[in-house]
Amino acid sequence: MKAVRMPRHDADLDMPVIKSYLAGDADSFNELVGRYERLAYNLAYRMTGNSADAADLTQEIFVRLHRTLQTFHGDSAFSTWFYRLAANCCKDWLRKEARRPAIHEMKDTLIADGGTGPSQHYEQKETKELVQMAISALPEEQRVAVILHDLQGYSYEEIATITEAPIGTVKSRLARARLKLAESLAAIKEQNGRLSV
Amino acid sequence: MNEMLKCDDVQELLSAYIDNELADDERRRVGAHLDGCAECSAAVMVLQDAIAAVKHLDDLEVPSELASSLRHIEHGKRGPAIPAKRWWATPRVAAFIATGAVAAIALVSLLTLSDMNIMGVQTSAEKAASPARDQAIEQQTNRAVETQDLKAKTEAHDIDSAAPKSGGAQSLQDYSLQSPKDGAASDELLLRGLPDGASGFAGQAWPKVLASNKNYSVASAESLLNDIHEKTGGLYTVADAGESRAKIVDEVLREVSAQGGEGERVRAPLNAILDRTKRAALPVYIEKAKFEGKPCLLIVIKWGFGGDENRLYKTSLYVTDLSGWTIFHYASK
Repeated sequence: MKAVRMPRHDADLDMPVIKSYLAGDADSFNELVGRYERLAYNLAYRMTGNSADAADLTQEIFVRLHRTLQTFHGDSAFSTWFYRLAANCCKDWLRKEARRPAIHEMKDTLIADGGTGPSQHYEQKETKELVQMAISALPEEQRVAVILHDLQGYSYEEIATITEAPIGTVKSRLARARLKLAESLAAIKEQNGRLSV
Repeated sequence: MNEMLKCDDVQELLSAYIDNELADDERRRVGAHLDGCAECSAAVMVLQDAIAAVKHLDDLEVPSELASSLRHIEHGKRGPAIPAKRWWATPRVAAFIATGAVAAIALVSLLTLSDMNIMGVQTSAEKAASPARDQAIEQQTNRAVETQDLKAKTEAHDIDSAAPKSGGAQSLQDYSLQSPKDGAASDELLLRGLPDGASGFAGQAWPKVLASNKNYSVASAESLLNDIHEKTGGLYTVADAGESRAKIVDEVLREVSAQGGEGERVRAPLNAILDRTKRAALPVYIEKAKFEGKPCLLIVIKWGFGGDENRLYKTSLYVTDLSGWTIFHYASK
């Protein structure tokens, strides 16, 4: 299924649910989960590059939402506030991940070595996996910009609000990210022939 | 401001140009440059290809298990507690001995991290009967592993007790419970090894510490993972992992040592695996066996997130070498 612009729920729709939750209706939290889980999971997947970590991270996003929802006062659209929370969770998670012992990577190496050589392994990857790998290799701020703009359809201005960065910075992050992606994908194309997207 | 832009300046603006995010004047100047510059025009196409590749990535469905778990976050705080089976709270030795299960520990072998021969010392007659015997052992071991059932283990022991010691049907413990040092009878060794007031895990459901002659493949290891995943859904909670991880790990490793293994040697790799999951995580299963012909440990952990009363709902399998540090295979559910 091709990526689609994520549905965004305006404050008029989300606020009653949030107020209801804060007033003690526990089920309202799950209403928010239903509205935003897909958005969060897709962001998490694209940030981490694999489903196990994406599930982990999505959980973390909603655990943090649960902890901090009472601090949302409606100053911005809930979707923007939520996306900021989710993006911050992703960044925290990636930093924490970078400090961990590389057991997982060791496994990947062992499995790859046990079968085909690195170049064959590389060639066998689906183009979409390779695109994902190229995204995963971007610095986190650039990754966020690409995911928000090119996958989820947010405008520069919206990304600036979500990431709390000036529009010029967003523009620059996106430009650098795309240049790096273009370089990575050109290398892939050289190996695999034209990208079949 | 009609000064022509240089290629370097234009390259920096191409991304915003493609998105139509440049001011009108800037856009016109970039357009004018592109009209006369084949190199920058080609760069636009390359960038457009990259953007198209990203835009064609799939919109992913939320996995149903994750969706279900997300809906427990709120319940973890306010809802009814999700029942957790706290294994250390169950009486073990008494029930273990009273049900005659001590001998059934034949299915729970010495888990040692040294280079111990799991097949143990074999007589020539046993060696001659090897293929059929191995198959019988594997069937019995598989049955016990698959059923995870004390009754099944007791029955296995009863059958084994009546079997002759050489040739024909062999007692499982003859092959899986050899002392690496003195070759003492396995029951004897196990009983001697059991500390006062403690017992082997064979007498209870979870967690398990055992050894088998099974030679796992990717498929059978993942089948084991599926089986354990289904059977350990309520075993631990997030609170257990927070409050009692050290105690649980200690008990599991003590059990390894109590059976003649070297529990302390698996402590560091086991903790690394638990840490690797990033969230609440606890061990549920350690088996010494083989994976694609290589001696291995199968280490299964449960992990999860959220409020203290949430269950650890994820299950991950690490197949490692006997040191616990080199991972041959990983799968998660």
